[in-house]
This record gives sequence, structure tokens and C-alpha cells, in this order.
Amino acid sequence: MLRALAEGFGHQVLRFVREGKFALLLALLLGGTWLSIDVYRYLVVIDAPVAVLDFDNSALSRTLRTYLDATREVRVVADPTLGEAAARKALVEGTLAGVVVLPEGLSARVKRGDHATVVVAVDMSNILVGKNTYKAVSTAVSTVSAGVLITQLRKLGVRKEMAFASAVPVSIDEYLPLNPSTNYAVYLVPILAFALLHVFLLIVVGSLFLPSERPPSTVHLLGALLASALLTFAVGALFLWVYLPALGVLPQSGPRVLVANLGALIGLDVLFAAAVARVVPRPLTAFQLTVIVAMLSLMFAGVTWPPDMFPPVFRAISEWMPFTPFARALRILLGTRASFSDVAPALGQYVRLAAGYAVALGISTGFAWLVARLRRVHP
Amino acid sequence: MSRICLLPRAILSELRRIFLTDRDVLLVLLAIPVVYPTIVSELYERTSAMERPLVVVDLDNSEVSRRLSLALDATPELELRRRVDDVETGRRTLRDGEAEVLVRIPDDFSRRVARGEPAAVKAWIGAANMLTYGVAYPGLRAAIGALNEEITTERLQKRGFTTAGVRRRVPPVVQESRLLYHPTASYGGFLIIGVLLLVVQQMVLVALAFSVGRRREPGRTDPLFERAPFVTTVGAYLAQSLLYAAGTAVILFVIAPAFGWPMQRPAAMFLLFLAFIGALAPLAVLIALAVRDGTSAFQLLMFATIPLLMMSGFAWPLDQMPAYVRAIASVLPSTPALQAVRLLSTKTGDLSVVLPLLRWLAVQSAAYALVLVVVAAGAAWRRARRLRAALAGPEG
Repeated sequence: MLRALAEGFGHQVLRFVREGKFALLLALLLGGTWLSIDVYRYLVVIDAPVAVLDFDNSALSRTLRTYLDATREVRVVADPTLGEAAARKALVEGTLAGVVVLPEGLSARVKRGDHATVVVAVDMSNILVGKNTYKAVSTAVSTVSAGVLITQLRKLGVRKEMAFASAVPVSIDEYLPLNPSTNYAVYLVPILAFALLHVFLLIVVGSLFLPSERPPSTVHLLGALLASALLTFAVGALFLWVYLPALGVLPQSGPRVLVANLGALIGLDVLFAAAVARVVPRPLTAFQLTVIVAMLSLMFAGVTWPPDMFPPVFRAISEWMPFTPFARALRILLGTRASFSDVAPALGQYVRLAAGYAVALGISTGFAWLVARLRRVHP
Repeated sequence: MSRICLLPRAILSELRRIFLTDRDVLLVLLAIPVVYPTIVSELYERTSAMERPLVVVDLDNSEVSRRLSLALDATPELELRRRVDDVETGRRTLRDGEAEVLVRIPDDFSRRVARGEPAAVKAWIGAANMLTYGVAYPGLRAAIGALNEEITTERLQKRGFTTAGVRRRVPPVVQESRLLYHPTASYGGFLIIGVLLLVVQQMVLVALAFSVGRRREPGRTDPLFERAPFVTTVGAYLAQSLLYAAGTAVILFVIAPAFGWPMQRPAAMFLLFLAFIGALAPLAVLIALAVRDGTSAFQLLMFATIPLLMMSGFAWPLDQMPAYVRAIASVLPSTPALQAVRLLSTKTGDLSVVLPLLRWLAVQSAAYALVLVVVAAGAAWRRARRLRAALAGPEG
């Protein structure tokens, strides 16, 4: 038995080295993951081009321009000849992310004690760039506005220390747990990398149940599953301690809990693929279903699109997908110094899912055994 | 030349396989454009993630602090789920995902406001999900901004300013915003239309590679494919094209309108998708020729979807990527096609605006066609050499 297990293990390892398809799949995992995450090397969207049409050309309008240019999100495109039509064309073509119009008489209105309006047009066709640009422009305008109000209050005789409190009575001290610098690498990179790892494992394990690729015996199959799991584990460790730190995402939690979370995902994936292969009668359909579930896992995990926005049926399905507890726990484990108790809900979900998959596997195996026995008795 | 004459036979052979002898290919061609877009559309049907869960620790429990709590709850971005007694409990709700924003109002909040001193509230916002952070943060800022305006107005009135005078003065600079092309900034409307193009790409690549791969499997070998693999694969592509077009029509004229995904002119979008399918042909044939069996198509091609989306510049701007990633992205057909999709979904229905992107797509297609010709010619030469060697074998 041990010999068959070792044979299954060895054969599966050799497939990743010798068999073109599996070697390519492994290369795609390592290369594709690196490319997917290195997209976010610069962490945040910076220097979106914004044109300022300054028809006032006063100290106030120049201050606004300077404040805008000082933000990391936008850079002011200096083209004094740019007219409204050209700005509109540039927005359509995507060469400008936004236009800020400072109308004539801006400064004079403020000095008279009237509202002055700044018109801001932002291209929201890419919401990521659009929201960043909008936030930067709004921050610059509200900061300058608060400064103007403080100056005005002082001119009206309000004491210096009271003027600030009158202009900004309530301020916010912000704390951003799990992603203090609000960068996209922390948000997406770990989830993307492990979603690809999860797809890889389900494809490899799902393939082992296809008639053309199934090892000769159940023990050989176990050996092959073990080899696939260990290889995936090694790649997962590579992601955790090499790929992610290369992009500045350093795991905050200890290796024990990180390894346990990775191991739980791998174990659950193997169990899931085995259960699907047993429950679905046609091997090709079972494999296709496994691949589809793998592909949808990222969206269903609720770490990019929040689960409270899912339709109720999808929310329930999401809770039965192996990647969901892993993704939730991973976010906590990477962003904080967490222990097992901090990820207790995910651990509980792992146990529930494993039990569910094992029951499905057991029932379908028992049913298949019964059918085979009945066929033998009543051919 | 004689092999080219096999093209009509290859087309008929593929049609026969799809509709009569190998229903698995038909299943792939139907399932990919119907099931996947429907599931993804259903998932993002609510388009915007509003009313993010908020928990408040109100240590002041005064009229002003309650006003702030109500102002936070009144924003469309936030929803006050509950009040807790201490920050530790609040932080636990953040960690467990029950809340995404925690606001702590200090016990001297109302006293400081009444004295005219600066008051600060502490806010913890879960930024691990940038999407929900991007919703919750502006909501928090808007509520505090509105409260600030109210307090400033009250203070100035107490100092003898008239109501009209204060209203004119606070705030001195007002921002009038025009959110162009996608004013709701909804996530579903932004993302899904691009995903639909990738679904079409997967339909073309997977279905063709699956069908051609099946012809190479032991027990299923196809004499026509053995004789002329290149022409048979091109024939299979042409035969499947009808179903690609039908699948695209279902996606763009049935599924997308049913979920309200933005398109300025559906007909223009359909033409763009057809152009993309056409431009994909050489690459699809190249991949199909390389695949050894039907399952390899799923094993290798499904895996490529996520990296393709990431590198395309559809979500993360191309100019913010490292140069080598940009270089790789520039040779992928999905890169110009997705940029054109963005323009036609949000900005204009005018195809002339996307002409530069279509030219880029055409150049890529021509380059892949050239590679395909070289590969096919090489394979034909090798086959001929093998045949000559086999014929010469017994004598020599």
C-alpha cells in the first residue's frame, strides 16, 4: 500500500516536470500570479492629469491650483490655452482625468462675503481613477475654503485661536486598520495570488478524477492528491513569504496560523474536488463544474464585492465555497498580529464545510457501492 | 492548394460535430455565454455598495453627539447598525465584519463644541476593502462637513451675523461637481461590461481548443484533422463563428439590458465584439493547434482569465503599471478591446472614437496571423519530411 502511495506521489510530481501541460500550468501559476500582482507595484493611483481652467488668475485661484498640484493623486496639467471644447475632447479621449474651472470673479466674490463656485468635472468612466481624482480635488477645495473662512473670521475680529474652531468645529482623527496607507496592493494582491492558487489546485485535483488522467488505484490516487497538495502548499508559502513581501505586503501574523489557514484551504479544496467528482455522474461535467466554481470563487468570497450586496441565494452559495473562509481569514492574518482565536469564525466555517463535503462524498460513495452490489446480485 | 479545398468540408464536419456527434462542444458554446454572464450579472445586480454598516461609541451622549449619530445614519453611504459601550467592543465588530466603520465620540464632545473649542471624533474605517472604504469615507466626511456648517452658522449668528449673511459666507468656496460618463459611479456598471468581453474571449478560445483537442484524443481521432490540421482548425473556427455571434448577441441584447449594464449604442458594442472575435481568430487557431486534448483547453485557458483582466488596464490604469507589464499587456487582444469597451459603454456610441484601438487590435491580429502562418508552414514541412522519410524507409 505504501509503495502504491509513493508511486502515485512520484508519478504526480514527475508530471509537473515532464508533462508539458502540467509544467505549463505551473509556469502559468507562477508567472501569471507575478504579473497579476505586479500590476499594483505602484500601490496607489497617482498623478491623474487634471486641467485647471483659471479664468480668475487671482491669489486665491493660484492657491487652489497649488493645493491641487500638491496632492499625490492628481497633477495639474499646465496648458493656459486649453479651452472648454479641447478639455471636453481630452476627457472623452481619456488624456484628462478631470477639469477644474475657476471662474472669473472668484476672488472678488469671496472678498465680498459671497459664495464662490468652483466647477469640477471628473471622468468617472473608470471609477477607481475618477473617485481618487474627485477625492483629491474635494480635499483641496475644502481645505482652501476652510482657510478662507478662518482669514475672513479673523478680519471680522474673531480671535486667532477661536477662528479655527469656528471654521472647523469638529475634525476627524482617522484610523485605517488592515490597510493604513489605503493602497491597492494590500487590498487586492494577496486575494488575487491565492485565488489563482486555489484555481490551480482545483484544476489539478479535478483532473485526477478524469478517466484519462485517473491513477490506476485509489491508493495511487491518494498519493497523487498528496503530491498536488504539497506542491500547492509550497507555492502558497512562496506567495506568502516571497511574492507578497516583494510588493510590500508583509504578513503580520505568525507562521503557525498562516500555515494552518493555507493548509485548511488546500485540504478543503481536495475534499471539494473529490466530492464533486463523486456526486456528479459524468467525469467531464464534474471537472467543468469544479473549474467554474474555482473561477467564481474570487467574486463569491465577498472580499471585493461585499456579501451583503449579494442576492440571498448567492450569499448562501458563497458560504459553501472553500475559498470564502480562507479569503476572510487571510485579510485579518496579513493586516494584524492575529492568533487562532482572532480567526475563529473562519476556522468554524472550515469545519462545517469539511463536514458537509465529507458527508456528500460519503453518501455518494455509499450509493455507488450499493448500485454496484445490486448490479452484481441482479445483473 | 488541395488542402484549402478541404475548408468547406472542415466547416461542415465541425457543424456536424457540434449539432450531432459531440454535444459537449455545443454545451460549452451555450454554457459560457449564458451561464457565466448571468451569474456575474446577478451577483452585481445591486451595482453600488451603499449603506455600509456603522457602529458608534457615544461617550458624550449629548444633544450634539446624537445629532452627529443621526447625521451619519442619514447619509446614503452609512447605516448606523448599533451603539456600543466601548471601543474594544466596537473594534471587535470591525474585525468580525459586522461593522465597516466605527466612530468614537469623546465624553467632552458637547462641552468643547459649546465652548467654541476644536472637537475631534475618532473614526476607524476598514480599508482592507478599498471598494467599501471608498463608499464609507466620503459618507463620514459629508456628515461631519454638514455638522460643521451647522455649528459654524450657529456660532456666527450668536456673534451678531444675520442669517442671510452667514449663509452667503459659509462655506466661502463651494464645489459644483459634474461626474461625467458614469455619474452613479456604480461598481457593477463599471466592471461587468468588461467581464462580458472576457467571457466572449473565453468562449472563443475554450470552445475552439476543446473541439480541436477532442479530435486528437485517443479513440476520437479525426482523419480530416490528421490530414490537414491547420485547415480543419480554421474550418472549425469559421463554423463556430456563427455560435460566437449568437452567444455575443445573447450577452449584449438580452443579458446586458436585463441587468441595465451601460452601453451607449448596443449595435456599436455588438460590432466591436464581432471585430474582437474576428481579431482573435489567429490566436485562437494557434492555441487550438497547440492543445493535445479537450480537457487541456479548460485546464490552461480558464486559468488565464484573471491575469488577462488584471493586465488589460480596464480596472487599474495602464500608465500606472511597470513598463514590462505594459509591454506584455500591449500584445494581448483584450487590452485594446477592453479600452474600446470602456469608451463605448460610458462615453460615446461613435465607433470612430475607438478607431485607434481597433487599429491596434488589427495590428495584433496581423502579427498573430503571421506567427500562425510560420507555425503552420513549419508543421507542414515537418509532416512532409516525415512522410518522405517513411516512404524512403523500406528501400533505404
